[in-house]
Amino acid sequence: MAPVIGGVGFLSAFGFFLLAYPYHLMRREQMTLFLFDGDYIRQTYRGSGWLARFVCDFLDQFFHLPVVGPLVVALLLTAIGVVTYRIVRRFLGEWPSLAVAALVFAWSFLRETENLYSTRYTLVVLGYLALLLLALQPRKGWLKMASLAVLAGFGVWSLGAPVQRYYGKAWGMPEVRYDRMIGLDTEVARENWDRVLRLSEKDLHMTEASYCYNLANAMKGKLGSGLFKHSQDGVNSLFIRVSTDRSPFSNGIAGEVWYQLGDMTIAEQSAIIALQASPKHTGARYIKRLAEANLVSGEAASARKYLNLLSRTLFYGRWARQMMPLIQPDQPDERLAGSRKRLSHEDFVHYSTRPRPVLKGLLEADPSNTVALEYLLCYDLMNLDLDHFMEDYPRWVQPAGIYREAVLIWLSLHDRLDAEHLLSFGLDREAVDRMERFFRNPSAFRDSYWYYYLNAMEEDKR
Amino acid sequence: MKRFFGYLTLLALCLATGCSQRDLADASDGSEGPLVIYPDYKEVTIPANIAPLNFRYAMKGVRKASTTFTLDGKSVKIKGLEVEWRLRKWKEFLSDAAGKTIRVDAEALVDGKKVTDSWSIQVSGDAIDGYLTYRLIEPSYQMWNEVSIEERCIEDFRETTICDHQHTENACMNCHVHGQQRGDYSLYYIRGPHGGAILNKDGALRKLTLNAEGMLSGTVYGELHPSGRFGVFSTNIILPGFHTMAGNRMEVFDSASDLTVADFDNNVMVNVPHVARADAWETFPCFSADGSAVFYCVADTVSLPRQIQEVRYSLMRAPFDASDGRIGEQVDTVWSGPAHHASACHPKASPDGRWLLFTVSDYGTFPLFHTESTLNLMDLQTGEVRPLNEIKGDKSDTYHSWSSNSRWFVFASKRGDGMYGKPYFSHLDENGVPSKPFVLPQKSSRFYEYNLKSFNIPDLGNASTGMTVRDARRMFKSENEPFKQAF
Repeated sequence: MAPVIGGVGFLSAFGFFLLAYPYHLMRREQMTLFLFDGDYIRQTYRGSGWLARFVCDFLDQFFHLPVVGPLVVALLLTAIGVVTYRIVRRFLGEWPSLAVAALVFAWSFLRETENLYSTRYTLVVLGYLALLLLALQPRKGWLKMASLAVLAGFGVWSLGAPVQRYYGKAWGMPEVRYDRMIGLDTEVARENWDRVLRLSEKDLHMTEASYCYNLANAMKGKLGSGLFKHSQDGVNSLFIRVSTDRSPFSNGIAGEVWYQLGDMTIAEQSAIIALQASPKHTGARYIKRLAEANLVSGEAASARKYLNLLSRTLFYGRWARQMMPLIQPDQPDERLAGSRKRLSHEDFVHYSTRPRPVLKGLLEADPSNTVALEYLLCYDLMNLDLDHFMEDYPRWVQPAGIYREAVLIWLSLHDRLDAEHLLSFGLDREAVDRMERFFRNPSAFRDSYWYYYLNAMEEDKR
Repeated sequence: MKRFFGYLTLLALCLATGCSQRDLADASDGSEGPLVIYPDYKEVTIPANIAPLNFRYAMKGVRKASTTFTLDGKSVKIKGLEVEWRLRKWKEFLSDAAGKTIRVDAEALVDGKKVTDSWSIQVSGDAIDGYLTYRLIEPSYQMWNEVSIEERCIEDFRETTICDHQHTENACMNCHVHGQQRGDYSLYYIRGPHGGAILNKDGALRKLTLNAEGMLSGTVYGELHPSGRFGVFSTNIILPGFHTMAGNRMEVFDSASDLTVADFDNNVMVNVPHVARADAWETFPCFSADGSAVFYCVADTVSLPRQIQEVRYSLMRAPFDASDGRIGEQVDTVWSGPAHHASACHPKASPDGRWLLFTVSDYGTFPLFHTESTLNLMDLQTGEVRPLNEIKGDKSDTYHSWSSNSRWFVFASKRGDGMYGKPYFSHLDENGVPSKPFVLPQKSSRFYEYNLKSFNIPDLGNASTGMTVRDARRMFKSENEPFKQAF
């Protein structure tokens, strides 16, 4: 019976992390760095608990792969169950032993699902259980006590103290929404925009999800057309401020829009702050972003430092070695040419809370930066700043979708809904008729800018 | 799968032999010459009491290196790409080296061909203060997580944590400064609700609230008076901003700043209006060597961040009355920012009273990302100012501190990787000529490759402060001593 129950336990853990909680382990990997470098290993894994930390970081890097991560964790958890069973079996019958083993397995399985899974603690639990099992092997009482003392000492030296504040909470339950949120960060970093759209759909009432959804739409050239298909948290849905009053997760993701827009300063700061928040300040995902930001901005020395680190990793090594020759800013490369073209040419200092001049600077540097253009226009609209919107809207482009609706509001506010002005914006009477229909029944036009504008104005009046 | 097993094998080899894909790593600021070494310890001047200058050969295709150090006819040969000394052997080698020159002969195979190189290391007769304190922090300048203040014995590799987040409920902390380079006279800050200025005077610790009604903020930058009774500080409202031009990174500036003096004997803050003007920003105060004057920086207020590039701090000198702690009103401009179209930061007077070292950048009060920032040396006997271009790196050089014999100074430089400040030491001869700077030696020659923290505000001390994290925890939990306005 024990092998069957062990098999069920293994499959349930494997299936859970593979299918129901796919991003949990990937996030852990992104917050970890393991270098294949003897000197680094010797420097990093010293002192009490060195073995647990070393094996933990070594295993965590495999969480990069969608199947291998769940496999490793399922094996570790199953091993905890098996070793527990073998210890308890020395004192109790089969069924009580199985029950105790199942409880310990379930506790180890679930306790970290609420936070980021801690491979280290799983290893520590497994290690101490294995040492206990070993200590129970001798038959003579004194020998048993002696081996227990020796192995406990070995445990503290190699695994660390069995209880530490780093090990997180004693109990937890899975939160699928939490997995979706960290999944958003993972997919944004990998630029899998379709997946970002799919993942964010259920949580669009949350600022971070709405922010990622807008970014994915912008990268697909649909920021304007998709903007009011869901509720928006004002400009926060476009730009998350890098700030001390925000969570490390928010600060980490805050740089993604700026990276795609072409502002490497905020992108870099966001990555450094996220790196600070990673358990050992060495998250591979953020080091990669730092390398990319410095490659784009032509900061050769900084880029080289980060690429040197990544070149010694298992899953980022090839990329780092490929990028190494491109650290010189004048090195032609199509992977970086687009990003480098977007860099601002004009220098000024700003707080990032007022992104309009920054976006205008980016557009001046590269008028073909459509992502920046859409963010600028949508920022104006979210701010109900129609005068700046009309100033920013390129005259040679016929307004469509929400932009067309914004132009109609502006014309209406300035008493210019006549044929001549409508024509100058490529609009006709039918557009005006539609707006009139909106005023008769606003709720039928929930995805329009008119609806957002009307609600925002009424909110202001209140 | 094949790659996976390949890396497993590599891991085993790494553990067994310490090998790695080393030739992938170019040195970002390695030495010149046929054989590139990192850190660059070629043609440097060092104190005889410095820790071993461990370095590695940092070039592609290099292998089978052999390095021979010769001094007074005795030689030590170290084989391998990593030239790392045993501490005792290094100390024996340098035991009688003061004032002499070490010759280094190196040979290695580079892409299969034998390459030779040689250089010298001058050992100065002037010793350097044996302790260096610094804060280890990521270069974000907005947030912190797990920061610490460390004290490193630079005669070996011992590092003691003076204060860290674990013992202060994850509070932030600001840098530790020695008074007159004394180990038993220093100050650092723990921030947050239970924080305060931790004053170490003759080894006794006090937690002070250096803030009184009417002041802009708690104290920020400052220095301790030779008498032990006073500290001169700035109070600053500090704001971070972002540059739009990639590479210029961040600008941190004051929206307001004043000077104040803390009287530690009477628990009062001595505030005088002429260094707390609304139309000027006063900051970075320090005492002259004898404590009779205060040097500080001042700039006219402008609209920020819009006009940040017009902010130019001048260097001022005002008399200091050590009987009551007042900064006098007879203020002299010793270096004008507007006249030089530049901005002065972080003045520090040498303990012998001869020199004043300060940072000059194009504008502003935060030279950490200003690649043009250069250390300037003022001869206080003649008033002559000279930029120390011969030691300037390609990135910022700032946050300097003197050794107690005024023959050495340390400064934080981002040269090399452009991002992380590292402590560099330079010898200054009697004519004010600095030697080629060298980076703080580390036990591992590869330390700076992996390091992802800045060494913030390195400060030299002639003895250990004796402070530990236990003291930090005790002080964190102790009651603050309040300060009030003197008048």
